[in-house]
Amino acid sequence: MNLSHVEFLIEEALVNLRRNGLMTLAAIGTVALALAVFGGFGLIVWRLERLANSLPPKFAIDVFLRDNVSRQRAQELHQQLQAHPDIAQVTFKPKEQAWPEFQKELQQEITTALPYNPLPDSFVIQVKDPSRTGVVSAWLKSLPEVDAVRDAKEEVDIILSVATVVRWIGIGGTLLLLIATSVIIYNAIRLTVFARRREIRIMQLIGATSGTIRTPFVLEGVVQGVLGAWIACGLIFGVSQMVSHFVMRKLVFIDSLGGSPMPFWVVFLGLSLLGAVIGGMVSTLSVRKYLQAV
Amino acid sequence: MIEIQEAEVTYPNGVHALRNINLRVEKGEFAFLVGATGAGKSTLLKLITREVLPTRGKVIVAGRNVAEIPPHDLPYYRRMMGVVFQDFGLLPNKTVWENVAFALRVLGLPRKEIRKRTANALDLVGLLRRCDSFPAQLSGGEAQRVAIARAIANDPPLLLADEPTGNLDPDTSWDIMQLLSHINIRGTTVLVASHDKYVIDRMRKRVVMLERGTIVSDVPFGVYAHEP
Repeated sequence: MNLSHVEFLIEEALVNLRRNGLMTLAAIGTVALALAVFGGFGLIVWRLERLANSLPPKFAIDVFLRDNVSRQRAQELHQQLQAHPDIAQVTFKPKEQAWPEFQKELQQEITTALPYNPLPDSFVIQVKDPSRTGVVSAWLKSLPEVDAVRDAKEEVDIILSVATVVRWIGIGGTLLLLIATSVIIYNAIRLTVFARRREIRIMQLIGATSGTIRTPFVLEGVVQGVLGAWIACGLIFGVSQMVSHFVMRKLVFIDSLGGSPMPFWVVFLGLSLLGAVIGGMVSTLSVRKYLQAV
Repeated sequence: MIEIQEAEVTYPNGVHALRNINLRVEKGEFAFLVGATGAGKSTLLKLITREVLPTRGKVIVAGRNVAEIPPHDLPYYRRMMGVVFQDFGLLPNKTVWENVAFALRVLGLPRKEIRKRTANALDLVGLLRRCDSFPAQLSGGEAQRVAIARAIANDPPLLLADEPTGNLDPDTSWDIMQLLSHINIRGTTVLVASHDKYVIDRMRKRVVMLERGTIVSDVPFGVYAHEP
């Protein structure tokens, strides 16, 4: 295939898109709406999962040492804990530091009434994998220097199971929406091909090869898919701006808890690619039917 | 040029479109296929374009058995024939010039050559001045001329026309037939399916008559003996 033929095929696609203006607009509009729903759902699921995953590390394990454990021994223990494969971070909190914090948290009157500092030395531990919280807690409890361990295992377990459910609903929903989106786009593009099926027969009788007939249609599908994706990105961006403006202001904690939203360029590239692939594939399928007819 | 031997076409719904067809069309000949609607004229042309395969028998065009042409060779086979339809078959979203040039562009010819041949073909049918019009802006006669220009732009040895005057008034029909005759004189074999008694009788060309899928007469310099 020489350069002028490639030029011809591209020119064909662009001229057809322009001259079949209304059909093209209808197809692009349908692609845009389908991809906006798909992308919007995907973003919500992605954000929820990130939120769910960002919560457990915030729940640390507090390890309280016995009164008779010396600072020297606590130092050794600190190193031992840090070497543990499941532990991400260990912070030593001496009783002198814990007491003012505790006083601040509680009402002054109660704590000032006490003549001495009743709090023990402690460690604040963060595990690498939240699902290992129970195992790490059990091991800590077994240490002779440890008096008590306080973890948020139950809360962590709930959040983890919620995260799992969100993930599976997300994957299932995304897949279903992807199929629905593809079917909708297939129908929209198939209509544009159907309207021009006679052209395909004429081209065949003129002696155009299947590739020459198919390529402009496929390029048109890709362009429709990509343009639809760009509109979808605009819709998603607009809606998410509105949502963060009106809703997030009232639910400030969501932003302070969850990770950052998916960068816009990722959404843009992802949807453009998806639009191009679906557009190209469904055009190929639609034309194939009429190419086989003669 | 064309040799059809004992060809039969039965459609999947059981309809016998053609039975025991034996036909020979020599290179450079002009022949009419005549008969009422449903007699099998279009099917016979489709046998030649290989849109339909014979259920039985053989169709040989330019020495090739059409049933044996592999699908990937079909476009190249079809480039040796121009086809003209009753409803003109122009691409609605292309101008007159683009419609004719399209047939050449799919062949991958250089631009200069495409320009030259398109201009020649449109000049031959007398429509060079309408080259920027779209099909919807043309009269029936003009549209058919454009279709003929497209069919001959590539200078194919064979021209097939399926009811080319079916949608046209008698005067325009006569003009179109004169044009086909002119193309035939230049050396192109022309096969026209028609039931237009007015033009067939005046042309005095070979007339092959079909009735219910069989050839009932084949007369050189004939007339259309039966009313459709």
